[in-house]
Amino acid sequence: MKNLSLQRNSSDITWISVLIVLMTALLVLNRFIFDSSGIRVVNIYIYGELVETVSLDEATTITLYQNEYYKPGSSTEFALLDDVVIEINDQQQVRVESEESPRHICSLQGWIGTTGMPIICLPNNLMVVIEEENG
Amino acid sequence: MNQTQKMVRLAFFLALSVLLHYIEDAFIQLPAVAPGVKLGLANAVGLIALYFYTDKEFWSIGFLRVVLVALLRMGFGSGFLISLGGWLLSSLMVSLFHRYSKVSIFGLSVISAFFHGMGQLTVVAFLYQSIYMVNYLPILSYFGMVSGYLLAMVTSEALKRLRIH
Repeated sequence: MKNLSLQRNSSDITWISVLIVLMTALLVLNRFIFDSSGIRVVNIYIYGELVETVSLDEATTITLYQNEYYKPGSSTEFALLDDVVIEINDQQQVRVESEESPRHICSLQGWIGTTGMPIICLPNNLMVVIEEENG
Repeated sequence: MNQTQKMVRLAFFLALSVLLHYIEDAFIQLPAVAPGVKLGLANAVGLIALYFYTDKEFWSIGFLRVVLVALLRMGFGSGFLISLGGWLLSSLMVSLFHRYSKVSIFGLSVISAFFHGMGQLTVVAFLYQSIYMVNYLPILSYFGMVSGYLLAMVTSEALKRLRIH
């Protein structure tokens, strides 16, 4: 096994540049793939199952009650750690307003208005994402 | 170096990586631009292990860190699977690049951070059966590459000053 060099070299620059170019290409590509001109809705998934679809056109608040969603194959274990409140504003953006989780990553993420940019809440097995209607 | 010395040092490195993981988790709150964005301080210890030893020790320290963090804090749920995915892909790519390219600790640290994020997102995409995760890849990658590079600067300076051979 060769030694690990502590000095920067041209190989570093080459590979880092390759990664930056690849990710920039992916960023541009994603814009085209997920760009939508149709009617957009907010889809809410628990354990990958679509549980609710809400229009993005009017400001509203949706509460997912803990006792309404269970882990797949269980009738006693809840999917959510507590009730989850999801909010849509009048600028066609959505956020997880409040939830119970150790680090609150999804509620800290704030407002999302981009199609296909999901808000993920792992401890609650929840995904909230703006999608094209019937898409 | 005898086996006991080596074992003690590796145990120290492992403890340090778990501690760094804990400190980052508990005290360093980054802006939530994307889920999973973090500095990856514990990865520095993997690079230190790779500098002093071989692939075998690098893989062992990383794997044991993932298992120990799960035992001590996270449990063996989806968080563990995501960590495992990140560790597996990044370790694989670090080993390949270390063996077959001329990259230094700077390139390796960036590659490690980049593929760590990619591995984590791949597991999340499988768990949620969602292709949307690909939208987060560029964001996570840019952030990961910057933090990976900064971490390499700190680690290389630390290694120049460490007097263990």
